[in-house]
Amino acid sequence: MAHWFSGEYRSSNPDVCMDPNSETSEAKKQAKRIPGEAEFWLFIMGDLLVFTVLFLFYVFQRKNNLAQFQVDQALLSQNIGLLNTLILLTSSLLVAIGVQRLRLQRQNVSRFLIGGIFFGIFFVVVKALEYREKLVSGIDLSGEYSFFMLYFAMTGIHLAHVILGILVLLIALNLSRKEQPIRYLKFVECSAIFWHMVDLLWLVIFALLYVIR
Amino acid sequence: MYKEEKYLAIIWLVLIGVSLLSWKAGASSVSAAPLWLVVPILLLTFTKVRFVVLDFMEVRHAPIQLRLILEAWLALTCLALVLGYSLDLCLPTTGNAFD
Repeated sequence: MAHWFSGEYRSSNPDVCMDPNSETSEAKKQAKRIPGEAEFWLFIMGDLLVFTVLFLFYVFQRKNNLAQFQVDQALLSQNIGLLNTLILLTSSLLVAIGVQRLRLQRQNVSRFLIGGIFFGIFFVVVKALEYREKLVSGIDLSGEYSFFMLYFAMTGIHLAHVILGILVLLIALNLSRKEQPIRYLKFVECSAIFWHMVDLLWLVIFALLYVIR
Repeated sequence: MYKEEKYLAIIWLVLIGVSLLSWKAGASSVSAAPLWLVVPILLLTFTKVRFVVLDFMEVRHAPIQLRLILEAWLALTCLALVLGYSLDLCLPTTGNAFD
């Protein structure tokens, strides 16, 4: 990862460092390119597979204990789930625009990244309040693989990803404010890809835990 | 706002709209979600996931190998979950669930 920081980014990337209005650049923009680093995608895919196993485990545990899961699931607020979904989608949009602005060397990259980070922190606050409310209300955590055990496991692992994502975006923000921030494009792209993965995992968690009862 | 950003904003609006739709569908079900509701909710969810992958992660313009791997993950995960819920709903809801 070190070379992303060291300014080694030499563009084989057709989108970068060209007049965006010229025909050549327009044609090259159509060329296929890997966003971020190829190796980083391996990590993303590994993470996606881990979550797939978690999702399937949840569905099969629900099958084994449907009645109790339905009682417990009814205690979750769908409105809070929706709020967190809207927060993460908005955060993802801002980060995606930030990355695009950096690549095309436009203004206000950091403003969009700050917006994305702000919504990420907002997500953590809402989740913390939800956890607090659940723990105070004395929900049932007993039993092997009860709904709330799986709820805390899945949302907890996801929350750890959110916090890691915020930290990585803070580094990306710092790099985007340096001179010639385009040198750090690969790192910023990778941090954005990680952030969008956090977003898409939440979309599935929202459907499984909050919507399908 | 630049042209590419308008496109991203439209995708975001679609994602918000679809999220509201699934939230509404989930909120209106009083008892166990029936399969005819579970399957569309999962399909809508993975349609959203696909937009995030293709447009926010920019895989739409990535080499075809990367796109195929991610599309395969999407389709297989969605299928596995649909099957998981289908098996679920074939089981009786009473009986030895608490044993």
